[in-house]
Amino acid sequence: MNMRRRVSTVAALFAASALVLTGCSNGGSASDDASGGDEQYDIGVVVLDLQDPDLAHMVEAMEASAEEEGVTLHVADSKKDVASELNQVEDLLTRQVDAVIMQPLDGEASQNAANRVIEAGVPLFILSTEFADGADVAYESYIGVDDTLAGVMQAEYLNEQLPEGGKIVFAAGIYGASWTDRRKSGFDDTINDNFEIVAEFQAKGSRDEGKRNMEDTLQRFGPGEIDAVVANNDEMAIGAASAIKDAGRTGDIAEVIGVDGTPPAVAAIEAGEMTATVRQDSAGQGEEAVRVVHSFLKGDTVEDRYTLPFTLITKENVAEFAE
Amino acid sequence: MSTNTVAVMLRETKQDGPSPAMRVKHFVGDYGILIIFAIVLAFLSIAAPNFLTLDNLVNVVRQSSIIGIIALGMTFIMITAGIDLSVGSVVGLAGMVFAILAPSSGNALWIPLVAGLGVGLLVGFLSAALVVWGRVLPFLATLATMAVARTAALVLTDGQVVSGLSGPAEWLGSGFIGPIPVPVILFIVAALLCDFVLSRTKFGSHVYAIGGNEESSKKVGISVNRVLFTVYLIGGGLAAMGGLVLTARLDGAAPTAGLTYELQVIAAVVIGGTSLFGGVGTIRGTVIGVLLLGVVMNGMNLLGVSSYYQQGVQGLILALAVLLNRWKSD
Repeated sequence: MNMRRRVSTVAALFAASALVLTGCSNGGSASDDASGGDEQYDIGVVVLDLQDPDLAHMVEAMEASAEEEGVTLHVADSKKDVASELNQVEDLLTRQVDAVIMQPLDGEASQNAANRVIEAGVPLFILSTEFADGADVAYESYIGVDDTLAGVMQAEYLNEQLPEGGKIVFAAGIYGASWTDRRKSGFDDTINDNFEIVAEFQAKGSRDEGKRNMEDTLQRFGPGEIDAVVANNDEMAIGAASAIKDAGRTGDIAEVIGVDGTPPAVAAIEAGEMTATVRQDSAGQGEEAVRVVHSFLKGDTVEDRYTLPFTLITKENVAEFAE
Repeated sequence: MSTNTVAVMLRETKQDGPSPAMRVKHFVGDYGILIIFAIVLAFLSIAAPNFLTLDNLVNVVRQSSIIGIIALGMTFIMITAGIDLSVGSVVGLAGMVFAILAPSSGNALWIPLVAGLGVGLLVGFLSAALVVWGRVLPFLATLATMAVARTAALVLTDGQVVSGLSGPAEWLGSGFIGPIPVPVILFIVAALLCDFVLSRTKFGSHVYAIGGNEESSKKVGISVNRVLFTVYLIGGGLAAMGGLVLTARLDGAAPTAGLTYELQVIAAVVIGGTSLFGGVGTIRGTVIGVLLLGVVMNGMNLLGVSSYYQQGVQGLILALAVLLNRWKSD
């Protein structure tokens, strides 16, 4: 314990001296630089799970955007763990970043880590997931979408496509996770009374579990007994679609809908195995976040909220999204 | 159905004048898990109208075959009193290597197959090297290789999903030979081979001997290191095979594929009567453990049981099986 503290003190001293040194060299070069005026900013980014393909894609886009803007990103991964999230935030503060972009893991539990940033006097920006209602975190802006809207759009699409209503199988993500709960509540509140959810399973966002559970569900309900499959994300929808295809019932089930708009989902819509998805433009959100933070650091005023819309992808417009 | 030799030995040493109570105990001890399996099957046949159909039974066995293939390797390792926590990560890594190579290599299916199995063997080799040469506890050694293999799977594609395989590659997961799905055939063939190796060969008897007592195995001249290396290679190879079948079945690989598979596999092997302390276990038991868990998951879906309860029921079965094994050996 003692040893560890000593090590971290040394590390902090080292980091501080490194900052002083780079500060000096920056100052020197700034006077030489004709285009001048731009200070070198370091922005800390805490992503909730870098193993998630969509978020990995988002980080790539953020790094590209940072390069364009001329700022440096320090990306940390909270690995879906609140304790690790707090550690990552503290490490970024130790490195004396100029601002922190945080993607909170949990609407309640992550407030602690967020307030650590604010106590340190570092401006905080929230990306893509929101704090629970009544949260007391004085962040500068929120950049992202409202997951509830994804569920609302899935339901509106179904209400329109199947005016007679029908029987729905629902593939839920991870109960208790904010993305699952918000998408699900948006759907539940918007779907009309002609529809009935005849089965619901938790497939934890994975294609594997989506397929396994759907295979069982297809054994339970014969042809004509399911009209639509609604999934909280694309991987589960692809798994379900694959089970439907293996059972030779692709035509029998009218709609298979996901959320995210990942490349494999776009391909599945082109192949007629899925019928729709709602694209959350993660890359766009990340890029926007980097731009907002940079303009804030340059002294511009920023808005409280930047919400980016979802896009509905169906057979009609899928070609625009194919890579 | 024959029981494993160690159980029989235990039973014979304790059997001086078997009372009726003892006989019941032995019967339940030896056949307990089969009895539970039979009760579950009977219950589901009555309660779930769609359970006892050929279509659904094929479905259950196909779903179980991936966990089953991996569990066969785990049985070898656990009989030596080891454990392999890396199998879930190997599923992810081998599946990823397979998916990356499968579409581009056209007809030469052997390239992705060999590469996928190769990385599984490599991870098995690393685990064994840590256990045998490094003298690291198997739990910790494979905790390390679990992390390394998962990282490799993530780094390979920068966390992205690889989707869309060539037709022949997909056949491995979705194809049929006659009426039987390919994954089921692979599971059956692997199970028969493993059963033969474990129960009929000298190597198999060495696996039991090491789990029973490593020191005395050395004294009687068993090459303990070689046997341990072999079981971890078998475990890694079979986990990789599970990963290839899973990737083929899903027509794509996610770097997170196989997450927590190690827990399901260990649960199935333990339910099948293998002891965490080594020396005890059979392939037949493992197959029953795998099928029991598969049937229970399928049955709950057919009955429309909420996902909230599903893990709890698996946990109950695990607890019941462990208590049964404990009671048997007391």
